[in-house]
Amino acid sequence: MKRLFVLVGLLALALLLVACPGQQATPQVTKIVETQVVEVTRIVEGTPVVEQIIVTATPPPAAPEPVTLNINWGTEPPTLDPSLATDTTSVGLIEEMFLGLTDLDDETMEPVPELATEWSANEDNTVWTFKMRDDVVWVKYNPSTGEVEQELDENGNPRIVTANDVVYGVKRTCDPTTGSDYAYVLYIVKGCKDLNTTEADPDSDEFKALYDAVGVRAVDDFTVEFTLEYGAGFFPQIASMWIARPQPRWIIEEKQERWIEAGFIVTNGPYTLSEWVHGDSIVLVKNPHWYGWKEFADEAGNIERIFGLMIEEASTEFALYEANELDTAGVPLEQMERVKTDPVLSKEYVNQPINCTYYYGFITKKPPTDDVRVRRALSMAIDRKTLVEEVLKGGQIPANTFTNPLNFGSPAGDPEVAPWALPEDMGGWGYEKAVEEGRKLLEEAGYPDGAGLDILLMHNVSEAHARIAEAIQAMWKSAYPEMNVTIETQEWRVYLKTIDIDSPLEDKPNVYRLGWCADYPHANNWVHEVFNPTEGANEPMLTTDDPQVGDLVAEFDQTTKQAQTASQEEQLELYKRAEQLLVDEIAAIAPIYYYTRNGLAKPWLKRVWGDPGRLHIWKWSIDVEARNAAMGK
Amino acid sequence: MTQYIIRRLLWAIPVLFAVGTITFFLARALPGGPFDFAGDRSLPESVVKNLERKYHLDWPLWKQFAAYWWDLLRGDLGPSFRSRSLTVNDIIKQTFPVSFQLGMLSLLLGLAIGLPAGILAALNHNTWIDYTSSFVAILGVSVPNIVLGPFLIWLFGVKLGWLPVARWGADYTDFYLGFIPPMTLKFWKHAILPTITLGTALSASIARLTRASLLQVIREDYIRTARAKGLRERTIILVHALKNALIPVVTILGPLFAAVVTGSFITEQIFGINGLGKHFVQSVTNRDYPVIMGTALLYAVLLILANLVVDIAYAWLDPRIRYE
Repeated sequence: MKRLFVLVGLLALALLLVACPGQQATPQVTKIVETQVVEVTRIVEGTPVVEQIIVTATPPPAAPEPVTLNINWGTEPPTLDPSLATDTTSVGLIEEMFLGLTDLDDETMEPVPELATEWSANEDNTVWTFKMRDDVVWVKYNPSTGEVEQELDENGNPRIVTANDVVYGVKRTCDPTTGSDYAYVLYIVKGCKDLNTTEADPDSDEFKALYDAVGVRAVDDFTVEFTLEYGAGFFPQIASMWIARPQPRWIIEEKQERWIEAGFIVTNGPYTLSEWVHGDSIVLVKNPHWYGWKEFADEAGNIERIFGLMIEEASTEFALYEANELDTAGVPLEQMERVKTDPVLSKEYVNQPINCTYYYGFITKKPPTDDVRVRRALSMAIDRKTLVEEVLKGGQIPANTFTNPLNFGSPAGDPEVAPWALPEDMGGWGYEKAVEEGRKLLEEAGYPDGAGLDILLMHNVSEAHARIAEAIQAMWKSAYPEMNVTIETQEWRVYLKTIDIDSPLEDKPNVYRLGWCADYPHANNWVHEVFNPTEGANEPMLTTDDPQVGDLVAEFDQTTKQAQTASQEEQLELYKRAEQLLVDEIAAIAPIYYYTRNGLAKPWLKRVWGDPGRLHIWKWSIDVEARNAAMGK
Repeated sequence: MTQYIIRRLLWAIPVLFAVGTITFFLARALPGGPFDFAGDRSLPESVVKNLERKYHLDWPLWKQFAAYWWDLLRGDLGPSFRSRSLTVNDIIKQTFPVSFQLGMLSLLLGLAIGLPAGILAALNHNTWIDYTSSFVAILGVSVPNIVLGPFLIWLFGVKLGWLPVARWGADYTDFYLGFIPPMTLKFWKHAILPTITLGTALSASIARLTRASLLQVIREDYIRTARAKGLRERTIILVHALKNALIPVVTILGPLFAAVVTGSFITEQIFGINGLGKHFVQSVTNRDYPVIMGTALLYAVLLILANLVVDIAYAWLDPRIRYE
């Protein structure tokens, strides 16, 4: 028996040695600073050496623990570079560290001043001028002092955020060598598309000319002017986006891709990066030089340090919250019932709408969904109310439009748009009447009771999507008993490729699932950018030569284009018309529900629940004593 | 023996090249590219083109292939497409030691429980000890990590509050964590639950294999001969039977070792451990070609080394095996 264990041990050791070459003994230093005598233990080449050193300087008084917020970002942010970010985690972190020209109000989602104090447009909304504040400084965390310090230029003067930094940031996003995924959102700026799509050598004069021609310029140090391709009343919303933020040119040019790492990154927002252990944690610390701490003192909270985790598993996040290791967290689906009924948790629970819509799209070129009556009948037979109440159970809202209600121009809940999608108490038809109408439509289309109707529904692999698909399959089967619904799933990227407009039609399903979340809260980001047949992603493959709805598609195309330059009031009318066309008359998609977020916050945390991409942590407060008491400290 | 080892290591080169080549082309054969989509939105062609140009995906495939091996020879595994400021070297340097610590501890735990349990069951064949041990082993195999992990978290992390709920307890002060578990209380408190979660499943399979193998060996003729010679039962089992019975166990230990030290996706996800496991899985979903290549090659290297050690162990276990 003994030999056996020796054998196992040897084997383990052998494997260990083979697999770890060059293991070095790192000296570890432990200090005890309470007394005048400091004991230093050094491990020199594996041998511990204990030395006693007399320290003459009195140790500094222990600094009070910074007020720390423990939060879970949910995943490793792919980047902190404003030009490169596309996902909510990266954008959420950038939001805490970089200021935009404008910000969005937590409740109304209207653009409000941030770097820009005021803005104005010319008559046709093609030229926008932003006046900027002159007291915003660039800062960097200094790991050796533990302080957030102002960045100094070559002459030792503090670097101020200027219009030139904005110009640089915008042009960097448009620059094709940056490789910005979201550059296309700035194609609205004159010349951005030309620069972004050029094949010219980056060192050539042609390239430089295109770079200089981008329609953004610094009128003076604190005035920046944008020239747009077309008049756009929603430009202040775009100006709030991360891709249009000022960026620190000097550090980006010096450190290249690495400039966003802790120790290099230079920021200007309420917090800055102090530590980033990739895949594990990210720490932000308060930027004391940010003007808002004084200027908005009555609104500002007391968070000095944000300790962020990257736990991907929802149930683990919830367990951490229960163990008081997180101050705020989400609710996993399987815990929903418990959270709602538990006397403690139910008080900490918040259900809040967020700016995303879940929908099913129809491939309008593939039979039998090439028939508008079939599409409408299918959309009508989705019992949205039952779905959100019995299947999803997260407080989601039944949707009758694509554009989420949190956007300017959304006619959500208006019974003049697809009233059959709304329950009776919201002014709609209710499900029974909708199904009745759906049956008539199917009979007209030659599928009485659904006989002969064969539908392929596809979604990407996910338990949540499967639950919804099965529920809708059951709803369709009970409304039109003779029809046949097949569900297929594909892995995410394969799936996205399949439903892409340019992929072969024979690979496509009749019905596909997707969600959309706003980049900026305006209907243009929805109906136009996603479904416009000439300028949008247009996954349903809408064309103006469609034998049934070609004219309506042409009208839809014109409507979303017109809305871009229309006055605010006209826009409301136009976007409503666009939704009527999209959801009802053309029935290119079946909107299903508007997302909500199910969140928890400990009683000692006072926080705002705004847009999940804009946490505004500077407004949050923690009652440290209450937390310590709860944790038994 | 030295010659044998050198020969085996030289053989590893064409094997690695084959693994790398197959992985390279398989990854690129997957539908959908790394930059076609941001989240669930498709990106305009112009934007995709810029990104592909930046990462040289616009080069002809043979040139990308050659460039990859050229960089690899110089120790550069390329950039990560997902984490834009990281290289594959960064990712492996930081996460592999974490997975290695967890995997090694779990394997040791698996052996410490599995071997004795298997031996006891075999020696007490068809008694209650055997049945209990087999029952526990089957339970261990069939209760998946995804059930055991959250249960342990709930019990020891949330209800009793004895142990931390998640994360790994080593200090991530540098990318180089070291492979040897640090002797700190913080580390061990964090390590207990994930090690048990991963280790019990391993111990169950080891116990079953040990039992089956030992049962077979004690029915061999030479054991009967040993008994006839009047040797003590202890000597028979420990010296003659067990050594032979371990051959199949050692055989699976090689691949098992390579598999566990490169990370367990599920255990690492459940405990929020920053290990290599998730990169194996997520790099494929993200079509992050350099990470797919890097993790596959690392796994291949470990597998080759572990199998080499296993083959050397054979020679010691079975005197009939000799390498020239």
